[in-house]
Amino acid sequence: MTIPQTRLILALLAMLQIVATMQLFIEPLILANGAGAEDSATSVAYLIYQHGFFQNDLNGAAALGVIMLVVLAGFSAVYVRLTAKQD
Amino acid sequence: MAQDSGTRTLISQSQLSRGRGRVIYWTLLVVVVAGFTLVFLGPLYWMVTGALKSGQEIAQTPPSLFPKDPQPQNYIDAWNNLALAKLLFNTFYYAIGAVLFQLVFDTAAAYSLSKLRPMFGNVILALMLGTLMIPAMVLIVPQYVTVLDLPILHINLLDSPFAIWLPMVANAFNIFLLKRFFDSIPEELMAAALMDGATSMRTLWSIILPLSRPILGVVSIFAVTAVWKDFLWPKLVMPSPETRTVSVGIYTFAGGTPMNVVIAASVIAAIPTVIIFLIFQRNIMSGLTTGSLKG
Repeated sequence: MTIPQTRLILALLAMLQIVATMQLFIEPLILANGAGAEDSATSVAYLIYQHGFFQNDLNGAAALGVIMLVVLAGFSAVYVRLTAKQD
Repeated sequence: MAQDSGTRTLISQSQLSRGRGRVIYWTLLVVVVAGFTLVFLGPLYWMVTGALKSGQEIAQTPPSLFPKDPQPQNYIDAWNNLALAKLLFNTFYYAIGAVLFQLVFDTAAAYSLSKLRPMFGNVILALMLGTLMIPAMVLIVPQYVTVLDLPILHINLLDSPFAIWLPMVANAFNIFLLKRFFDSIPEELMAAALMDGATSMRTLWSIILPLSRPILGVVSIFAVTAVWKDFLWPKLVMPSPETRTVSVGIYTFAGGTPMNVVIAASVIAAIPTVIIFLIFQRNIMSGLTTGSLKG
């Protein structure tokens, strides 16, 4: 009863959480210096930071940003499809 | 609760007051309340007590639950060694500036989109809302390049407070929040003001703004917390020690300072936000619900 009715909100929360977690930056930077063992703690955001501001590769960093945008847009598209089905 | 609240929930009142139902109810309540208190206050407790431990005690495994020999001196050390007064002042300065700029420009934008309705207003609004779809992290690089060499004017904004203020003002979420609130102000009030010969500027100042006090409070709180907790952006655009914000400052000092002093500095940095939250608790809650989608 309750769970099917809140399905949309649950999907929205899941999507927002995915979008937020994909942008994780401070935690890997502080806890694992961004890398960890064999880059196991590197987040996309940290990779962008590393490319753009340490390896002097702003173009690469911007490209990574675009890739991230596309991936996140994919998650949003899933959410939009879920919403559309309901109507 | 023992008394009948009048609302019927899934579990009836009589089920709750009987033997087994009652036991389950109270155990669940206690477990949930205690669990959440622990989850939310635990880190704060750990931070405040961690700052009171000696350098040796904070490094030991397993960690001690209470500081054996509390050392308030750590807080004084943190204040002096990390030059926290300067860092806090910087952050406060950026926050106040962000609030003022947002109140002036976002209100103006929302007012014109909601009440003055210029040509293509809806297109502009749609474009603004479109920017909400782009994650902040994606924009870091283009935004940084823009700050390095501002188009048309060709000024370098590094270490200038405008590097924080300008991106903060272009905040589609707050403009949308304000617009939604202005939309709810009846058109009749606007018409009455017009009949009395008020200009649109005068209407904004004497009618709309006094009515919008709650939402202006919400926007200000959002602006202050956003500046206070931002890390990556101020780290990039405020490279010199004199212009650092408090979060970046603590991070830079973290390498060469004893852990307990760093934690003490974090406690001091967190105090203003905690105070702001306690004072404006109700506004923050209402702000969270005004902007959100109601299921």
